[in-house]
Amino acid sequence: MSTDTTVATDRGVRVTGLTKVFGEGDSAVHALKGIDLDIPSGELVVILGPSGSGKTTLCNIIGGIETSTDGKVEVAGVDISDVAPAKLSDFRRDHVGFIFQFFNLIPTLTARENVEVIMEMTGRGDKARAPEALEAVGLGDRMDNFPSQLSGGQQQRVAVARALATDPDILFADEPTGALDLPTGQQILGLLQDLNRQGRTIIIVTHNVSVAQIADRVITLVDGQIASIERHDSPADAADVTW
Amino acid sequence: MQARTKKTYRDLWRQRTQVIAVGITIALGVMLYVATAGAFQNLTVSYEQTYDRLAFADLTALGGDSEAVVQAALDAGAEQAITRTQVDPPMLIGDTKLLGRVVGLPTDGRAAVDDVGVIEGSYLDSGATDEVLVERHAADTFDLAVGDTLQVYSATGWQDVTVQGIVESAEYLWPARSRQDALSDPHSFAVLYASEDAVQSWAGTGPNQVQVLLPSGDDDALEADVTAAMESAGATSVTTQLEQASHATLNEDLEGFDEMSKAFPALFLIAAGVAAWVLLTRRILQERPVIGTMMAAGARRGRVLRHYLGQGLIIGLAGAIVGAALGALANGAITSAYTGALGIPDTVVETHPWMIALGLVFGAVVGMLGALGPAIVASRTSPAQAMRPVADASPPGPWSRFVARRQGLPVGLRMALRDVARSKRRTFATMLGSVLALVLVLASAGMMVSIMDAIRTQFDDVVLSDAAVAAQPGTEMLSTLEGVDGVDVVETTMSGSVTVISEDGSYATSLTGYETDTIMHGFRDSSGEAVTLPEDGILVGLAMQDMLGVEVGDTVTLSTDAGDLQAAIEGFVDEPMGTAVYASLATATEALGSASVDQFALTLDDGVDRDAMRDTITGLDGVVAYQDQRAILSSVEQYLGLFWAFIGVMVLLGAVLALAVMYVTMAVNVVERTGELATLRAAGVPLRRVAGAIATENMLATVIAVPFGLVLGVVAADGFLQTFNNDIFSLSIDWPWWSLPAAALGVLLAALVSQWPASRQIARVDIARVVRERAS
Repeated sequence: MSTDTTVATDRGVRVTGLTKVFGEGDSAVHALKGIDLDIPSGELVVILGPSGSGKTTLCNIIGGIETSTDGKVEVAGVDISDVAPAKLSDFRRDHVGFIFQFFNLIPTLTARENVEVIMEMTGRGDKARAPEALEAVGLGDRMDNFPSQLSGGQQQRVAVARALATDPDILFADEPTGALDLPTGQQILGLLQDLNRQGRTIIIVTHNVSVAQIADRVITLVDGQIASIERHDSPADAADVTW
Repeated sequence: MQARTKKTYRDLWRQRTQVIAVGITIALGVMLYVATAGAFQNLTVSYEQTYDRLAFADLTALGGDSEAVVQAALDAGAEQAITRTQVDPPMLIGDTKLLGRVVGLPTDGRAAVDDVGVIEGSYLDSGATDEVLVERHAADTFDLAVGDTLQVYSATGWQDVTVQGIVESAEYLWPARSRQDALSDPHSFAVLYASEDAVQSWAGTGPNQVQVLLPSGDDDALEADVTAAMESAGATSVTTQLEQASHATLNEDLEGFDEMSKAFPALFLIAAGVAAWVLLTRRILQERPVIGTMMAAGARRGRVLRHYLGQGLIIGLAGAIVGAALGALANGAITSAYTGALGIPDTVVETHPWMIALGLVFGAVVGMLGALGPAIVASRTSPAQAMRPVADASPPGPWSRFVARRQGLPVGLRMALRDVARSKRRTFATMLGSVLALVLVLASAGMMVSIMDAIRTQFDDVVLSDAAVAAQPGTEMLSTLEGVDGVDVVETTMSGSVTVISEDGSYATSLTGYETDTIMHGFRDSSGEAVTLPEDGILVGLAMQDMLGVEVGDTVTLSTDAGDLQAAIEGFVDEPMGTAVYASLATATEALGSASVDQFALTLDDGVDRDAMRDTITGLDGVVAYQDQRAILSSVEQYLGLFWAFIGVMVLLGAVLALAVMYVTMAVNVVERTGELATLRAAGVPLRRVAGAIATENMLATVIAVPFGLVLGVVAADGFLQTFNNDIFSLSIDWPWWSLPAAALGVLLAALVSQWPASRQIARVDIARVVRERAS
């Protein structure tokens, strides 16, 4: 295990002096207080922290679904610090994918259609490859099932396949196991680990310390600041992680 | 303030745009109700005030010995009964010759029944035989003033008379010669009042009418008794106030107004109720955990029920208060505009507190009814169930499975197709908004279309002559008219008043005789097929079939000043305006006796200058009246402007209705699917694509609703029109090919416009907040 604070980046993430303030005056909440961070391409990073530490806010800003108050954010070679919110959707389409705690699948679409709809509506990706994406997450035989016909773990797999639909540089997973039981959570973490081993940059946001065992690096946030950055030279296998 | 009251206000504030949309719909409904129902009440009172002031006759009797009829009426309980003389002689006003009307009035006092109100000048001097009072409409039409002179054709030739005053009369608030001439060229009719002695002298007859006033608060039984007594005394026809030409025509309008004051507000209130239902159902679904917590803590079902009913009540009352205030203001404006346009002498504008109270009750009830279903659901919530996360665990239905197999369709379209069936409540509300908007638009447009169609039918298929001419008897007018340059064909006709009597009743109307192969009048049955004018027997207007209980082949009595004639009904004719009797010239002559004037119908060459033709023909020696049959069209066109304004307002209101309901349903749609939409946006799907997907779904619901709306709209328009149909008007709708597609297009456009606020709402979805809320 080692600790460092500067990492070179190519298609990864570079954050400098990042601050985020919600509200104004006396009611202002300083969610992030000058974060400096580099995440090189191909890493699996876990951002860890208790509730209110600013981890989701950091993830949202790096992912381009929230704007910062101050500081510089460069993701996959794109400086998104001053990009207008309307233009950020192009950035997200081209560079990032999201996985959410509650899957957020469209209940009226089948598994295959949940993947296809992203490809179709962003104009990115080949719809004919949607089955491949589902097979890659182990759902080749359930791709014409609706979300209500899938288990929680299967739904989260669909969410992973959907996030991969646009072939993003970086995959963000916000509490990906938060709504799942242990075995299913292990499967999802394993899936993310497999994707990382194929070269995909993955950033997981969680308050679950156990999940951090699979990371190449663990960035711990406390009260809007980086409390520590921990490197795992030999990350644990997802199947060995328990909580 | 109690905590739950604070919660109510804050809940409503959080959904303020949707609350406002529902409130506006309720406000429009209540405003329409208070304004139109109030105006209806005011108009009724305005009419009654004029009728009371001028002692408008309750009954008018024709025929028999007038004195005997008067005595019979008084004996049967009439308050007042008087005789008078009324004739329709030719007149010369300026350069215009027309068949006018002269009514006798006493000069030793004022008429106890059917008096006149002097607007300018003064009443007739005692014993004066060369003075006349001119009814207001005629004075306006012919620009007559006190001191002007005009001529009346009498038994002894043209009489010069001087205008002594301009008057108003309850009998001619709508200047109609008879029920058959409710709409006519204003230059073809004028009413003068002269001393009773002068009128008898000009006409060469004695009194021919009895006017009866019943005690105020009279009942139907007394009216029937007096009618029966006068008929027993020899009266051949007794016309009630309701059947009197002016009153009947105006009453048509008023009844339509009454229908409108109920139907249109109802449309808005129904729509508002559904919108409130959608809105509050959404709130209750969103608050399931809160409701569960409250009930777990011991809150009673009744209290939960009242809490959500209270939200509906507040929305309803807020809308109703605004609507009632606007309605009270509009009430006076509508009343004044109406009485001003029709020239009703008395305008009574009152704000009826009970009506405003009723409007408030309507708003409150609609709000509460909209909230009732969701509130009951909330009060029956199981605490344990409510506090579990809401999951869309319902299995896919056949429709979803069917659409899933349509792999050739874009996924976005498949999503929209399935979402139509996803929330039936929301889809139903969207469809209902579209349907009600179409009903509103079509019911209004139907009136316009039918009136235009009636005018077209009347002047293209029924009245085929271009002009009617009356001439002194004994002149060789037929050949003279045929020789006029620009006149195409001339036919001799004969027309007069007649009372048709059957075993079941009697009906006073006009009898017109034509040559049996006439080209001046088209006779058509209810299916539009041509009917031949018989040599013997008569053709009668279709409305008489029910009024008199007669069928083809039955024999009726034609009672005229010349006596009674038995005639067989050879057929019924269906005409948009009026219910008249037609016969061959020979039969008409037999029924009407010798006429005071010779009458002719003519057609003119195409493109002839009609004003020049009027001058030419009225300048001929012996011509005593000329009526341009098409001149009515120009008067009608003046009114069409008002109709278009009416249609425009209704179409606008229809659009507001559609917009308000659809906005609420779409806003709720967006709120219910924030997570999905945020996910799509987080994946980089452009705003326009996300908004487009939602718009496609909503437009699909609207498209599905259009056929239902068109069918219901056509049915509603037809039903609305039926309330106008009687012996004066026979209206039917023959929708032009473009009208229904245009109405559908209008509603689709309104639906499309309502996507705009929805797309703004999608743009405002805070992706980060949604993600944060779900991840925390």
